[in-house]
Amino acid sequence: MLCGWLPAVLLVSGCAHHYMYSRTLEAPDSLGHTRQHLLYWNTTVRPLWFDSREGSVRILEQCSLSTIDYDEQPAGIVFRQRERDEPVLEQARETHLCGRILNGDRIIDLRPGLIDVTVACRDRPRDRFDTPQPYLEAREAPYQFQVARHEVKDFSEIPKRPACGN
Amino acid sequence: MAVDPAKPKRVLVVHGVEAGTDADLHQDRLIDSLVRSRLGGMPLSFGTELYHYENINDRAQRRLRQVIQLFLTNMLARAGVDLTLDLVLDVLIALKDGSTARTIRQGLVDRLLEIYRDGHPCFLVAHSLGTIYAFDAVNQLIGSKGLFDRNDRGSWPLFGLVTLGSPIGLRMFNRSRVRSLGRGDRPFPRTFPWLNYWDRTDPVVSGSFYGKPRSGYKIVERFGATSSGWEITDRVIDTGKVWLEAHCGYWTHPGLGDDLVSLLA
Repeated sequence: MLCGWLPAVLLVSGCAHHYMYSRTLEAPDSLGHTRQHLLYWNTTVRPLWFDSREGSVRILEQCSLSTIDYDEQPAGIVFRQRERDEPVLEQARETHLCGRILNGDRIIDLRPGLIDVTVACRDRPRDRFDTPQPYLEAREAPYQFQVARHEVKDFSEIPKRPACGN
Repeated sequence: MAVDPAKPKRVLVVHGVEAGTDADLHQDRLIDSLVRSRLGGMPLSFGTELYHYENINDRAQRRLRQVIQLFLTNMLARAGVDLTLDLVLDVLIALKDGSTARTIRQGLVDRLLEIYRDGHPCFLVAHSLGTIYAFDAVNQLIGSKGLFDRNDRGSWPLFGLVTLGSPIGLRMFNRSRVRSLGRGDRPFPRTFPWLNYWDRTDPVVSGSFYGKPRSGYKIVERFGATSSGWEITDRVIDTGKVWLEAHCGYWTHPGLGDDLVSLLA
């Protein structure tokens, strides 16, 4: 029975279009160093099967192993406070949200062009096992990433963390 | 006996339902190359290894599979039936939770304790059915005396759990609660992170044979209250694949690699 299904599944999977959205922005991190910050997300569009959208928009930092995830949630696309994120701005203390994508509540709503991203926390190592992982500096005004869309063969083409020293 | 922050991190990978034998399994190499490919040239000292249990399953199934083979004369049918039995019986062993499942779970606990005694900060990455054994092993360790003091991560044999394509939200596995780490008595007691990744069309997660997407955002976040000491995060991931391909597509997804880098650092 499985063998009967497999050709159909492969055929439908073959019709999928994979898209990658990304942009790098130069801005200060929470330690005050000017760094490159890469924002990306990915989507899959299938004409004959269910579409799927990556559930997170990610920001990768130059010279830091930090990854920030803006997860699609009922409340929007939000950066949920983790244990080592310390709220800097007042709204983060109240909501336990360290940031938000302002252009839509679902990944499916996001389009190429300007993407507004807020950051309201900073990295705070808590014990001897934590190494510093600075990320975009918290500020009231959103950061703007001019995001471009590329069709890709598969998601192995998602760009990598900006190399340190560039 | 305590974990040493200067020692390389260790990632113990637990496989899921598999055909073949232990010798055929190399998921630890996939995680190793995924993480290394996402470092962007930054240093991170770590190693990976695989916890095998397919041979334990195969030994427990051998007699039944041999008996059924007696009724089949066609070579192709024998191979097909044997493969199906290999996969299905793996699931039944976990569901029954008898002596074989206990052996597998205890073997995992023992290996985690060996890594702990060696002083390496350890992270557990489990896939599919292996997530059930991983979840149970972590909870067993949390209940052990002298481990998981929330004020001192030096006493933690495990620093994080990552589950991929887990069926743990399905009712048949009957798991719904984590064991609490207690409150801790300092201002900032540490929490234990559990990241659960799932693709919406993964049939092992959704329970839908047809790959109908699972909607919503939460599967395991409801397993523990904030006071449990766990930091539980469900994270949807688009592997770009569908159905069983999606179930096997986590290992190479760059988004997972980026998150693992951050977790290990």
